[in-house]
Amino acid sequence: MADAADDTGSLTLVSNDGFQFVLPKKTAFTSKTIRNMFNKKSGYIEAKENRVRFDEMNAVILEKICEYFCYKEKYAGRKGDIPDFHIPPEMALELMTMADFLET
Amino acid sequence: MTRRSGARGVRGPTSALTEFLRERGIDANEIRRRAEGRAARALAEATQAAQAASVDQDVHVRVTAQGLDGADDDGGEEEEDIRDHPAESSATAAARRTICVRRVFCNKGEDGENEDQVMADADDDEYNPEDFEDEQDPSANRDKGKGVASPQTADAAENSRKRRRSTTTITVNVRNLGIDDDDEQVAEASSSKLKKNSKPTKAQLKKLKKSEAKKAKKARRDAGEDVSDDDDNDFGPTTAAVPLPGQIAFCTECNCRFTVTPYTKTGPNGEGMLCHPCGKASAPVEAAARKRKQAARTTKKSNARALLDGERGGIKSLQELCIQLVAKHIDDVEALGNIGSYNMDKICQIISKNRSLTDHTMKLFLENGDTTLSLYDCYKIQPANFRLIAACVPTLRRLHLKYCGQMNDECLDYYGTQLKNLEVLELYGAFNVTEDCYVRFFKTIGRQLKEFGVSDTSRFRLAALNALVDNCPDLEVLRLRTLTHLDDQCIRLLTGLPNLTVLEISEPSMELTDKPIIDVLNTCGSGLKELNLNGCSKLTDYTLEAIHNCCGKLETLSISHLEMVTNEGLSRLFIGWDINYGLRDLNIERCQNLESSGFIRIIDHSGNTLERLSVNSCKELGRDDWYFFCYFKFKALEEIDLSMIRTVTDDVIEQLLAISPHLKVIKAWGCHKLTESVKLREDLHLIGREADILS
Repeated sequence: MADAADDTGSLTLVSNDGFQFVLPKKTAFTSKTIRNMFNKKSGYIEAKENRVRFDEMNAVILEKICEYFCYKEKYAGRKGDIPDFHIPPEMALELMTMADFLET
Repeated sequence: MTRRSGARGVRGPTSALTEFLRERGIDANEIRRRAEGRAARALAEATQAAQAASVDQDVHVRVTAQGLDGADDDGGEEEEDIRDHPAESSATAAARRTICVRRVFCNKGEDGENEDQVMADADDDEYNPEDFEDEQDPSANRDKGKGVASPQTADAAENSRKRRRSTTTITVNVRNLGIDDDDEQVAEASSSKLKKNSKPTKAQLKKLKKSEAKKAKKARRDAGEDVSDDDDNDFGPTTAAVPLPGQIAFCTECNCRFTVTPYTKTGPNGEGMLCHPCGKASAPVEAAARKRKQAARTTKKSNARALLDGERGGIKSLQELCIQLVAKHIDDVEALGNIGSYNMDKICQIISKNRSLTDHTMKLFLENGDTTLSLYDCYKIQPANFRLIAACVPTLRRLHLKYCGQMNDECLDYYGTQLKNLEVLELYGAFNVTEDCYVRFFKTIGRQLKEFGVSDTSRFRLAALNALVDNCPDLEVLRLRTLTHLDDQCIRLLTGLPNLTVLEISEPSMELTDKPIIDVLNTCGSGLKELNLNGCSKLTDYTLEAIHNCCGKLETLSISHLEMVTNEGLSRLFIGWDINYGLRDLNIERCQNLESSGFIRIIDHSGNTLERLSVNSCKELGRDDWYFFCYFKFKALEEIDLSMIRTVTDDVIEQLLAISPHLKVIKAWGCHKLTESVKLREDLHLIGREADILS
């Protein structure tokens, strides 16, 4: 339920090695999983604290994911020349499982 | 042709010569300027000659010749050549040569004869008073100069330019001076040995200049040089200024002296040459332009490919991007790890499509404990590795193998004994497996088989099918695709499989008739959810009638290429088909007799349930009108194929969209009346529109 989540303000994503990434909620809601976490009705603690901790992700992966959120937000709906999103090949497998988890 | 009038000035729009000149960027003014410069120089030299004693003549001519070809190294030969004609007095020689050149000038303009002919003409020493008189009138001269441009003049101009460059008193910027300066400078240059007396008139200058140019040309020709080639090279404005590689030139940007190479760049506006540092400075701009062009081409290509693949635009999900990346680097992957079956299958599909599923990469997908394995392109997989599948993953319940050309009897026997849980086997393209092996396989494992599919083999015949029917009582899904020896007798055996829910008998090599199919439908039709009879081209309306009577649960019907089926037959199938609650997927591709009336019956019956519909190549559709659309509604339709129906227009598509709220994909190959101005929904994907492909 997209409308049930308030997408104003910002939230913090924390990696398992302690790095924090502050993003506008709207950007982070590219991920369906995160959006569902912030659903008011669900009442998750993440929604109250505006903070999500990912124990499975290190900073490198999480940074890449945040980068993708921004990329997606920037180019969504545009036509024509959209630059490729660069992913280092060695990161691909791990990123794939995380993307699967985040439904991105 | 307008060529005849060339002497007056070639102006006609149809003149090939005019066009040629324009293309090369030569205009009359430039030629005139060059010719006048040349004439001035010639006159100066002639004046010197007249002043000098006849004893000096030989020496003087030699000087001229050397001056002319200073850039070349063949001065010595020319010297000799000119000494062969010492008897002529310089004045008469000059006059005579002037005439010759004049004639060449005219001839060239008139009929563009080849070089040799012109040269012969020029060498003719006969005196022609008419020409001479003509020559006396400077205004007439100028007119000609304007209208006619011959390679000769271009060559002469080039020669004079070369000479200017090579003499020490005159530098490159002479070229940019006006005509008067030019005259003075040239005269000064060539008379540097003798004292300059008086400034000659323009007419004289012109005459003498030409004679001198001619002389030089003759000298070069006699020396065995390929003058005509030179002419060709010298002709265009860009190449006219280009010295041959190895020569010395002066940069148009910084005026420095440098050696010309084949890679030397021409200056801005095609004028002159650039030295290497200046050329390099302009290189990044060109490289960037080239890169942009390349990128544009690539984008266009990938867009076209995406269109053909039916891909949607927009940004791919991160997961999709990663999957593609992994598939691209599949050879470097040591193990996929626990990435989930969806990801695994997707990667497998992509690398199969790229034909990079090999013995090595295949092993990545073998995971002990898995129950499902699909390999979409096994053509590179060795028999030993087919065995490896069963050895590594004995828990398999579903196994799909496509294009498994190297699969042999041993492998299938091994599967039969090793895969204790196997329920579903699809073995496409296993043409090496013999009939006996199939029989053994069914005897071993038949009891547990629920689904079986086989395709593209001539070894799956009556005996194999008999074994299948005898040993697999619980078989629910049977797919027999493109089998060579599938005949009516084989089909009749299928009556022994009453539990079938899916039956596919597609594109058999032999012609199947209605009777056995009807028998089969009578036994198992009531349970069938999917029926595929694609390409059984001898089937008629009787089969449709059997479907009407038997198949109440049918959801998917595919009867493409049933060309003997009539409009009435199709209509009767759907009229009052109350036992069936509506099809979800209907493919009547190339049932060419289908007309609008039959189509109305189809929509009337299944309009609410149809999700996918293909009426590809049903040419009679909408011949009168597509008005009937407004009476119906496709409540669930997501994909429709309207390819090769010529009556489909923008209006038809718009009407269709109005009645089908969930439509996502329209295929419209070869619908030539469909334009880009059709109003589409944002989320709709139109594939195959001509306007998209051609753009």
